Amino acid sequence: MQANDAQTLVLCVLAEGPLHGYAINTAIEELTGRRLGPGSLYGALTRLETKGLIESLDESGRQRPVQLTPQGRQVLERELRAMERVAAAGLRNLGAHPA
Amino acid sequence: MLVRLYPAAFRSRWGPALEGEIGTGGWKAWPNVLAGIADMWLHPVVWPAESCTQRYRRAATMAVAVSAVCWFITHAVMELHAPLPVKTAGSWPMSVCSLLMLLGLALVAPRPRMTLNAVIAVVRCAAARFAVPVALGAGVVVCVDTGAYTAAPTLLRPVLLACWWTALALAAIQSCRIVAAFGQAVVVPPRPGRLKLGLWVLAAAVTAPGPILLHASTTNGHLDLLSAASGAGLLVLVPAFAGTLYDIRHLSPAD
Repeated sequence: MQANDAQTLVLCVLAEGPLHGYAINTAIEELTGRRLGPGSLYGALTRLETKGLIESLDESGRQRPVQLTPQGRQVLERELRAMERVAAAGLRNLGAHPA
Repeated sequence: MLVRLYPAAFRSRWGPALEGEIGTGGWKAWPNVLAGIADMWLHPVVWPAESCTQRYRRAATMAVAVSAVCWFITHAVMELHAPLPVKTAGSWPMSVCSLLMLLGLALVAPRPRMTLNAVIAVVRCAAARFAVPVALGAGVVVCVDTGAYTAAPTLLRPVLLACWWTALALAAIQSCRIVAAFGQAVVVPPRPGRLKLGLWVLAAAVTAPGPILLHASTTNGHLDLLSAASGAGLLVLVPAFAGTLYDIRHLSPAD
């Protein structure tokens, strides 16, 4: 996964709690400044569900909220730690201090 | 309308929410949605499913479909396209590819359960689905064997030829529909190991004719465009197997 990868972004915003598709995209827009395209968003949700990293809750109206599974939390934390190490090394090489 | 282009399993899972998102995004979202639709059709294993078995059955259907397309293109080019050297069609690499394809299909195909009801259901479905292509093909064979083909007016010959290739195309399509039609009550889907081996074998069988056709397209000292395009087209099919193998590898263990 990469920092701007749709699946990583979805996992990141779901770390705060269950959300439905539209709310996930709104949270991603707040995080990155732009919304994911519908094809990317629901493609990412489908793949994350297939991998067992998210699970759906009961349908509420037209929307179906999803939440992280325990395995999803583990994978997200591992990926973010890896990105953190890479970012820290890159900033160190640039002579910049981490924010 | 775009939502209807997604696979049914995807639509029933995300359809209403997806419609809302497309409505919010407007026409600017269409390219992304179209890319998403193509992506989903190329990865049937990741569609929402009730069990891993259902995902394996979809992978088997995809493998049969891609193999059928490859088989049809290869044979159409070799049999209808005169500039291609005749020795290419009967060469040992092509024979090996055909054997590999048969082996791969035998590995990925679901097997009927050994109960009378299951066998009857499979035979009945196969008879119904293959009735039209077999009747068409048999009609053409009878015309050729009785000499009616050579005696037929010049205008009628292309029609008979079209009937023959339509019969083959229909048979290929119906094979995929038969693999997709049955649930667990009637057939036993391939086990993961057998399915993966079958996908690897089919990937090899589908990959090899591409370079062979590409090579044959240049052997006469000039580039034969149809053979070259067909060879390149076959190579485009290969990522479908790679994607499916990747998707199977990343399935949830709890699925």
